[in-house]
Amino acid sequence: MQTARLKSRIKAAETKKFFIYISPWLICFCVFGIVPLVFSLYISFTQYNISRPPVWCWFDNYVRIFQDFAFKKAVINTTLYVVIKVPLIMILSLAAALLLNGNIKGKSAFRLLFYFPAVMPAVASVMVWVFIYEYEGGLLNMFLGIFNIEPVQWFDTKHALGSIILMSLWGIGPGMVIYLAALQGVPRVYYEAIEIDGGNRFDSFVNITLPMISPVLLYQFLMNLIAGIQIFSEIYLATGGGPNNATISLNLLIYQYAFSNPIRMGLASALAWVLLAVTLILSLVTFKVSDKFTYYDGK
Amino acid sequence: MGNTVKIKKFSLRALLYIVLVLWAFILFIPFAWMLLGSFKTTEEITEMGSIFPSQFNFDNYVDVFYRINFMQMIMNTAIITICGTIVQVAGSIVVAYGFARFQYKYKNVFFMVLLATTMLPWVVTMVPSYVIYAKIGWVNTYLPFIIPSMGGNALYIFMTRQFIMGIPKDLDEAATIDGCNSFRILLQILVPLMLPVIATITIFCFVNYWSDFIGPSIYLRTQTKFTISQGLQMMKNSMTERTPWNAIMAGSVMFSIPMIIVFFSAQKAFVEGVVTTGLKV
Repeated sequence: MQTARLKSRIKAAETKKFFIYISPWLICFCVFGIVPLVFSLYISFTQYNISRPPVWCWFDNYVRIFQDFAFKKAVINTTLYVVIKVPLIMILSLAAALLLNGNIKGKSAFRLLFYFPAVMPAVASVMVWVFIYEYEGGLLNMFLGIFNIEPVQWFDTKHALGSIILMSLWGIGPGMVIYLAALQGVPRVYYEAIEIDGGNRFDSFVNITLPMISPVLLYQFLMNLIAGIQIFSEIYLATGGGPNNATISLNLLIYQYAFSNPIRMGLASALAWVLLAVTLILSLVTFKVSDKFTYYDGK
Repeated sequence: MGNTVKIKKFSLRALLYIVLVLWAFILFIPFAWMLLGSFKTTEEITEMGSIFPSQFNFDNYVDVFYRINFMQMIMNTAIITICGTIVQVAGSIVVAYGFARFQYKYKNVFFMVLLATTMLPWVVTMVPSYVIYAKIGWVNTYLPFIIPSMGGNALYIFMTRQFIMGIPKDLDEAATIDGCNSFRILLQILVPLMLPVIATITIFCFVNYWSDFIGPSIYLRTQTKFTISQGLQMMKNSMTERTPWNAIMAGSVMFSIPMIIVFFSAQKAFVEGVVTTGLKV
């Protein structure tokens, strides 16, 4: 009897301490997370320009989004960006990790150099890239000039999205470091086993390396996917979504709805919720599909 | 027979090194181009074929301070970075301590919610947050960068929690018997042992605040409040003349220097942080 009461008192004290220590997060999450989230859902059903009170308009915004030509462009561009960039950056970072995983002289120096582009602040690196893409005096056109190729307007409607994707491929550093760590976690005995069985390097990559690091690949895929859907700063800084919406992305469109004249906060919020729904669905699909393909130790 | 195998092996290795060196060189080009550009004259930046500047002087670096209020912007960025980092690191440590050391039936539910917030697209709360901050007078102040950070950041909390869980609980228990309360245990026993993880999250925090562009571009409206990110963007968008790329590159170099210093001086902590958050959460 006594011990039971003591136990429950200790438990209550523990619970109290738990909530005291997590309270900074809990309070901030409610005030700066839940409240805006609910508010955003409400605004998405209204016409709202911040200076006048919101006017309820049911699903008008959700309908209007799909009629906007810029929205179609944004969906196409964001999809293209994700579909091209995510696999490419993952393959490149994994390739870099595989190359550096072996017995290589100057391994840490290479690792440093490969990581380096990711150290520059986003704005600085976009600035450099826009400078590289300049029509006159830009490095890329100079380089093409060596082969007698006419200079290209890298940010015209035809090339702009490709240029944005190309510059994003310099940030292989974080992925590479993560894959290197994952590769180091693969037990050596597995490779020795396949060597005894007479398998070559390709066999061991397909049958051991890939399955062993598949959970990491999956997680990275998801993270890259979520980040890719939210592409904003690079485009905002490089082209501002132009020319003629050639590089507009979903996030950029939301930003424009919300802050460019005419201010349409309702439309922006509605699109933000569409984006959230898409993100959720894609994450769930990734998890579902991956159940079949990823290997978890001991499961 | 043995010779051809040897030659094949050797040439494969040579190829590997060639690929690595070439790749590293290509990756290094943007940084080099930034450095070179920062020394060029106005004529040289639009000239086809001029890769190297004719002379290395620091005119452009001085010029930046005249073109825009760069000194003020450095100060602003530093204020946001320092205040934000202190608040966010402290918040993350406290919350991580709660998650690591105290039991509650639905603790895991709370932790899952915490981790789920990392997946939430920032635009979803952008509009309402802006509206709320506008109503309470936080727009064009640094409060939106600092106050919401008091609750820490999900990734940092995760990393710190993992680290605390690796510290034997015997230490806490011994201290409790000696009459230490839980906050003193955190401050006097755990924090000194947590320095590696604190270093890592501090670096991450610093880097994120320093290079942030989205936050300032939403909440800061007048030039006297601008951060360096915004200053560089201002120079790029100046409509009055040709884009002053040499000055922008000089500004970008100065903007990058703190990041580069942090990266090189704390490489291990940096990489460790990337790895722990990148493998799985």
